[in-house]
Parts: sequence; C-alpha cells; structure tokens
Amino acid sequence: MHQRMFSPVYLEAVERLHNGELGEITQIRAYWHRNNNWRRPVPEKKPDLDRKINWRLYEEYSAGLLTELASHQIQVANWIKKSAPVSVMGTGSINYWKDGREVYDNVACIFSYPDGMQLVYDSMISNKHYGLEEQILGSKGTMELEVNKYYSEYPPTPPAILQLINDIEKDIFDVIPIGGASWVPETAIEYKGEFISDNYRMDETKLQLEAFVKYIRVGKAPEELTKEGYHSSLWSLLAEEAIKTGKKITLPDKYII
Amino acid sequence: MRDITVKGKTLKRELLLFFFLFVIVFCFNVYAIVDYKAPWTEIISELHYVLLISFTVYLIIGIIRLIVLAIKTLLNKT
Repeated sequence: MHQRMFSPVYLEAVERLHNGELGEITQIRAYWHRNNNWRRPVPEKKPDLDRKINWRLYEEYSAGLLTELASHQIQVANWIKKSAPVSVMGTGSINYWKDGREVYDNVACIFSYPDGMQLVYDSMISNKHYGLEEQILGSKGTMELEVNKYYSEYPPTPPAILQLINDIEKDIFDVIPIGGASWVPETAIEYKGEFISDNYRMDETKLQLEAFVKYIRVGKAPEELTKEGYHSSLWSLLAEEAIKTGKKITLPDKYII
Repeated sequence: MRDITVKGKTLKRELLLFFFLFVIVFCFNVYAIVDYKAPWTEIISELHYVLLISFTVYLIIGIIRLIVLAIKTLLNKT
C-alpha cells in the first residue's frame, strides 16, 4: 500500500514540483527512524510461531526496513522524479537489536536517477528523534512532505521598519567581537516556511481504501499505480542486494518494463 | 470614588504629543524604506506598525513623565 499517492498534501506538492516551483530538484533526502524492536508478542506456549508473527524480522519473508518502510519513500521519490532510479549502493547492519533477527536494524542507501540526482536514504530503529521525512531539495526551495512544509530559498523579507528596529536592537545589545571570526558556521536558516496544502487533516489511508473500492467497482485501476508499486518494491529489493553484496547495483534487463 | 476629569487643554496637549510622535515614527519608516530599498507601498501597508510603535513610545514617555512628576511632588513636600 502506497497511501501517500492519495494524500491531498502529496498530490498538491507533486503537482507544484512538476510545475517547477522548486526549480531543478537536485537532491531528495528521506529517512524513517523509530525506536522499538519491531516485535509483536508471541504466545508463550507456541514459540515456534515467532517467525510467522514477526515475519518482518526474517529474510525468508521480508527485507526489513527496506521493504516495510523505505519502499514508501522510494515510491515518493520516483513519483516526483517521474522515473525509477538507475542504480543503488548501500550499507546496513544489525547494530542494536541483536535478538536473533535476520534483517538489518539500520540501513543507508544512495539511489541515483537518470539525470544524476541522488536519493539519499537511511532508516533505523534505535532512535526516533528525527522521525520520518522526505525532503525535496531544489534550486528555488525545499519541501518537507511529511510535515506539509515549503521553504523558499528566498524567504520574504520583513517590512523595512522592522528591519531597521531589529538592526538598531542588534547594534545596542549584540556583543562586539574584538577579533572577527574567519569562518561562520553555515547552520540551518531559521525560517518557519509555509504550508504546502490546507487539506492536511484528511486521512490518506481512508482515501486510498475508498479509491480501492472504487477501482473494484469499475473493474480497473490506473496503470500508474501498478508501475509505482512495481518500481518501489523492485528498488527496495535491489537496495537489499546492494547492501548484501557491497556493490553498486544497476537494474537487470529482465526487470525493465 | 472621585471622578477623574481631564481638561480640554490637557487632552489637546496629549493628542499633540501623540501626533508629534506619530510624525517622527512615520519619518522613521520613510527612512527605513529608502535605506532597505523596500517598496514605497510600505508607507501605507505598514501603517499599523507605525501606529503601534508611536503608541509604545508614547507609553514609555508617559511612564518617564509620571516618574518625574512623582519625584517633583516628593521634593515639594519636603
């Protein structure tokens, strides 16, 4: 299920991105961080059911973070780029939840797109401070889709009178350095941005299920949905291969559609 | 409770003071527009800031005047 394709925020954001509002998209960064062991309770009397109940943790059934979480964000990147990646390289390990699981508890991958743009991705389940996000970085601005935010590279300047008061205040209260710093850290700009869409309260999962029922009724679903699902699943699995082999993986010819 | 009566002369003086401050802050805004190369529409669009700053300055001056008045009254009593 790639429910973001049914989210009003994502639909509006992607339309604006395709209209070039962010200029040239030069990088996409995405991450999904959680802090839990991802295990579901197994009945004490039936410990052999662990592999079935906790199927996400075993290679036989899952590629872990890549197929369960990353695939959603790879889909978003592909949707925005109107293209699938051309290669992936990555790394991963089990560095915290050493409890017999077989899938990585942390991964980091770089997907390259035909125009040279990179999707820089990471996921982990031992720290949740940063949560999840897809950051779309363009020459004219940035979008953070999960929090419905748009940041222009050229934020609107405050009125002149406020700038003047601010400068006077700085002149009076700021510390005057005796020896000027040769380098100032380029930390993030404090700019709160604007909302991408006003429709952020709509439940995208519900919208997706409504669409699913509608497609059953009409007996057909848009081909684009199948393609999006195919490419995101495929590249999740290719990322797993890249991690396992330690090589840069390109798309095998047999998977081209 | 005693009624507070404001004389017409006092009211006129206070209004004149506020108007004077408003003109100064208005000029301040014009200077800022020129200095920061902002659009001239800010003369009208930022009038609310001009009013707010004028009122704040008026209040600050009012507090200072009250303190001066209190000191004068104390000195006269002694």
